[in-house]
Amino acid sequence: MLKYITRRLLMTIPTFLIVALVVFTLMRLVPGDPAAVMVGDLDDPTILAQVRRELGLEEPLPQQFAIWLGSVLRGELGQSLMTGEDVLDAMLRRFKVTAQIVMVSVVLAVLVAIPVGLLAAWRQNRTADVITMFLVILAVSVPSFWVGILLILVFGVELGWLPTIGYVSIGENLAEGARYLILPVTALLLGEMASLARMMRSSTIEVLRLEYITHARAKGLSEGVVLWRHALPNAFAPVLTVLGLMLGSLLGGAVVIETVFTLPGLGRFLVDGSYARDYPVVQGTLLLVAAIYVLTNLIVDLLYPLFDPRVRL
Amino acid sequence: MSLRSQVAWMMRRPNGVVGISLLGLIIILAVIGWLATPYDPLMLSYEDRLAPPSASHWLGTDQFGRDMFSRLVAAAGTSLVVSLLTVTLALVGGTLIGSVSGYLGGWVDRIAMTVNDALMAFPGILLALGIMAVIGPRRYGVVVALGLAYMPNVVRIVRGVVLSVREKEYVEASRALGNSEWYTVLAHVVPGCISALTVIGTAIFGGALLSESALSFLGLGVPPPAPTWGGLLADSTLYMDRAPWLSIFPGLAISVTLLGVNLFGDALRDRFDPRMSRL
Amino acid sequence: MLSIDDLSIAFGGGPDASVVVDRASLELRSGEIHGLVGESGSGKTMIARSILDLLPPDARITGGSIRFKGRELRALGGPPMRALRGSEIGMVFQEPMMSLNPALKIGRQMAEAMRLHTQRDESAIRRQSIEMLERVRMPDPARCLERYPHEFSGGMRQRIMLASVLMLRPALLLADEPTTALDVLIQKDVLEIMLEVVRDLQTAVLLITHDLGLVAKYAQQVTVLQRGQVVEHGAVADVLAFPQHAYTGQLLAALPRRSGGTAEDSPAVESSRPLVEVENLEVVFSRPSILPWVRKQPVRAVDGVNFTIQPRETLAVVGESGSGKTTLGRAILKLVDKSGGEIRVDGRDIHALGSAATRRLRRDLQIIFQDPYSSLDPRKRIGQIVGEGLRLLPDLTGQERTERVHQMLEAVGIDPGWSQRFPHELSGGQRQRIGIARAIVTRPRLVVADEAVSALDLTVQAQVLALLQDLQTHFGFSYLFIAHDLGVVEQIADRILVMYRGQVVEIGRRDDIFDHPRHPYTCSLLNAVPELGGDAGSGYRLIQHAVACPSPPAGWADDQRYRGRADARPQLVEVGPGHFAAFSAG
Repeated sequence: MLKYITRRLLMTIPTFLIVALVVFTLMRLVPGDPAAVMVGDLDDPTILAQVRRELGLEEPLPQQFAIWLGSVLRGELGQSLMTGEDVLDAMLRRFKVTAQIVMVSVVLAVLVAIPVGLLAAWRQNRTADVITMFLVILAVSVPSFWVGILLILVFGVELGWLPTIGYVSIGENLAEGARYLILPVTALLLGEMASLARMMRSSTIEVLRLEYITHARAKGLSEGVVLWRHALPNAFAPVLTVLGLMLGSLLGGAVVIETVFTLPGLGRFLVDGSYARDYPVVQGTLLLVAAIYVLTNLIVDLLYPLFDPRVRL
Repeated sequence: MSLRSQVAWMMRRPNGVVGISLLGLIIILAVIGWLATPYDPLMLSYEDRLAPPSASHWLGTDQFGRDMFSRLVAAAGTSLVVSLLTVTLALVGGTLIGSVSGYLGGWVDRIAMTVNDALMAFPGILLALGIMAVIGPRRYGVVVALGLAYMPNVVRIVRGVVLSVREKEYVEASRALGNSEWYTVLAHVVPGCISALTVIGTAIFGGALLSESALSFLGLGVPPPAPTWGGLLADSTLYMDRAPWLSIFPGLAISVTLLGVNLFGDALRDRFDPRMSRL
Repeated sequence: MLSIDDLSIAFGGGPDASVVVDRASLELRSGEIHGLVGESGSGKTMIARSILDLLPPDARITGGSIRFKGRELRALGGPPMRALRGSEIGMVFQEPMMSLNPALKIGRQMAEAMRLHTQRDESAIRRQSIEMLERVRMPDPARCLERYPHEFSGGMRQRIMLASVLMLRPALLLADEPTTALDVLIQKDVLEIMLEVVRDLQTAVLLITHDLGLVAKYAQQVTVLQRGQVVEHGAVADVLAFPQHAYTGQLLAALPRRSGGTAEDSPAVESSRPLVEVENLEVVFSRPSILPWVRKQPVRAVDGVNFTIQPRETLAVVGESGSGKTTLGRAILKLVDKSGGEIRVDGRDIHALGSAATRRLRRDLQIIFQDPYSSLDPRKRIGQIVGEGLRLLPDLTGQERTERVHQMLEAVGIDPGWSQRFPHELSGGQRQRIGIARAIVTRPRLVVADEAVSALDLTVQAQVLALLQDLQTHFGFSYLFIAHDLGVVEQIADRILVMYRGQVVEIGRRDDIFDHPRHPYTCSLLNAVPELGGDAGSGYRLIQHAVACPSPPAGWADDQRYRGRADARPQLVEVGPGHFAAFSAG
């Protein structure tokens, strides 16, 4: 088991490095002088020269990468060309917003999708299953930003029940914050929840076909116990891996949702930055998001043996 | 299994029928959009701004008086073409890398997989955003950005299939018959991937469509004045109180297309999965 | 105790329904061991499952009755049926790999049924579990409870299953091919344990199997199924002695036996130059590890093997899993790299050949694989598959190729008109014939048959073995016939080589090995498989084998675990003309 953990941890290092390399390459692909790219429209030649020295532009490329990596790891990500604020600070502030939305979405999605998937598999091809699958396909086909817009139209514009712009953290005020979160979270999680339910269903169907399920039934256990104690842990294991991937699409979805609902989150930060060619922001956000993703998948992989003891070897 | 019997099979399942019909509908609309629309999608007409749906403008007009229906069908072509090109790029690139990596194994495989995993660390749309930020909004830039974003998924799937096929006895038989490694891969391993590729191809097509709309919605996709569904949606948000219908139709178009793709993809998967287990 | 009357089971509904069991009837008395025999597709598993209402989703009972201790089981609803399952009627399944839940500890799984059906408390259940594990001879039972299924081998898992099912002392045990997936020696172990416990507990057993030998040895009554219908039933001794139905006769006749061909008849001439010479062959696999300073123990799949194969001879290589026999076959065909020693074909070292010469060599060395389902590319047509080998003969014209393919198809008993068909349109036996045709299309001189009949039904097996012998007579090639049990090779082998853990343990002519085995491992293998003797004329009966192994020759010591110490390889000592067995220096 320890070997597995060590091995998994070790594997994250090359992944991080390559992620960093990709971002580095991307940034360097921007036409023009890298220093000017990072500093923006400032015309001051002394500042430009200083930045050039800092970036080590005289050195060979691999060295530049090393220097760049060093400053990234120290948290020195430059300043936003749009607002002048420190990129790291700005990102972390906005990250709190995105995190809330994403976390709530994940928790709700799991709470609903897992039982739904399990039940649909149990009643495979019967009415409940068919209806559920139909709803699932619908939910997966509708773009989240459109759902967001429709929700705004109905609940915001027509009915005026819920706020559609702006944001209050639930950390400060639970009730108010929740009101601001309801619509974006709903829009975001609809598709993911449906996708997760579908995964769970097919995983459960696979598991139910296996011999140990028949064996459990042959012992006289009721269907409920068979599903819960025998099918679920085994069916959940592959779905756990998918959860990690789902985080990726949630983060992607958050980008759009934050734009629709004008929420001050990380996603919108990236969008605004891309629009405005604010490269320090783009660079920083990409790195942060990738880092979050790699970390989450690491956690997911470390949790996996809990459900599938075969991996512990 | 001939093509005809496969199509017949597809027709017997509700998934397949509905899926293909919806897709057919959209393709027809796209072709109309390409050939001849009721109005010129780019023609401005200030008198008719923000008109609700009527006999002359079936879906109403936007803030510049442009006919919604015409813009909608014109946008269909853009979305479909971009998605198709993306799928091609992702499939071709992914198959090459995935099959070579899976078949050779060893350190080639390890390195390729580490790089692949790293690339997968970027959620598709974010990577695409980043790339668009670098190259600026361009129609074919979108294709490259999305294609690269989806390629790692194809690599992973193809590699998985190759790994399992590699161990099959008929591959060993091919080597025992004196065939070179190249021949074995081309003649026996790659065809085994076809079903998996078809399934994931449709999935990527749907994903690419969605991502392309999202990018256009954010203003970072195919540049104006070419109409795109995402762009139409983005514009509509400014006029939600005055012209709510503008928000409904583009989204509906995207949803219907995606529904068609997903249903068709599901039918495909049903078709190939039981067959694979029977083999 | 168990009475099945006119039971019918079908898949699907309406006019498309396919009948799997057709008015089958069966009687089982308490304490009796009843064998239910049939090949694949006979419906035997379905019958067992229907007793406990565990049929797969689209199968339904369409008629008949099942009575257990007087109660009609079909009339039982959910809860009463569940109360019955496990406590009165227990079931053991075939696949040891998949019959235990990989996510739960053994102790938990064993306790589950007890907790459900009895009122015992935790400590009593635990005690009972340990006691039962001891009964099935599991080492260290207390610790077993804390471990997971994947930590145990197939044979052990099957024993755990037995323990957990028999713990509740059911009146009836349904055993569905409980040992088929296991190695021969382990099979014998598990069966003996099962029957011992069953005798103690006075449990009745419905033993479902395709192996008539097992039924002959262990069961008192037998019912024979063919395609869903009962064709014969009765006391075992009676049925064996006077089989009434043609199918039973077929099954019995299909058991491999030593027919005519003895050493004198065999065309293999020992004085001529051998076709293949293997000298000190070693194949070692190293297992890679991620951290470069950690070195894992290499696996010595083939560890110093010596033998020859004469032209037109069939050399059988027999061993259990892990013996290295498969690797040996692959090494001779140059499909796997050797790590030491030499392999010579026609006097030439095959590993010294360049790639062009190797390609020419392949014309002479071919292989038939085990699994008829995965050895043929599902996307290619039969004609293509068989003809693929002809790429090695570039001088043939297109016309000649087609003709050759047709010839080969006919030779293996397949209509050449079928060349355009796909593999999935054929049965297992037919696919195996295609595999054979593919192997001989270049008229090779050596054909390696890697467990070529192991995956086939008994009657089909007999046909394919006969085909292989015919082909050998006609075309004159040698066979390296790899198998995991001695019974199969009885008919076809001229000489036999027994392997254990990468080394040759005994080698000699077929009759010598069967009648006078000298190595303890060979003896165990022989004793593990129940043998039926006789013929259609005089009836069949069980041959009580129990070959006693003689002690090693003077100056040599026997080895407790069949092989020498790691540093000193056992040597092959001549114990008879052309007959060698491995012993350690005494």
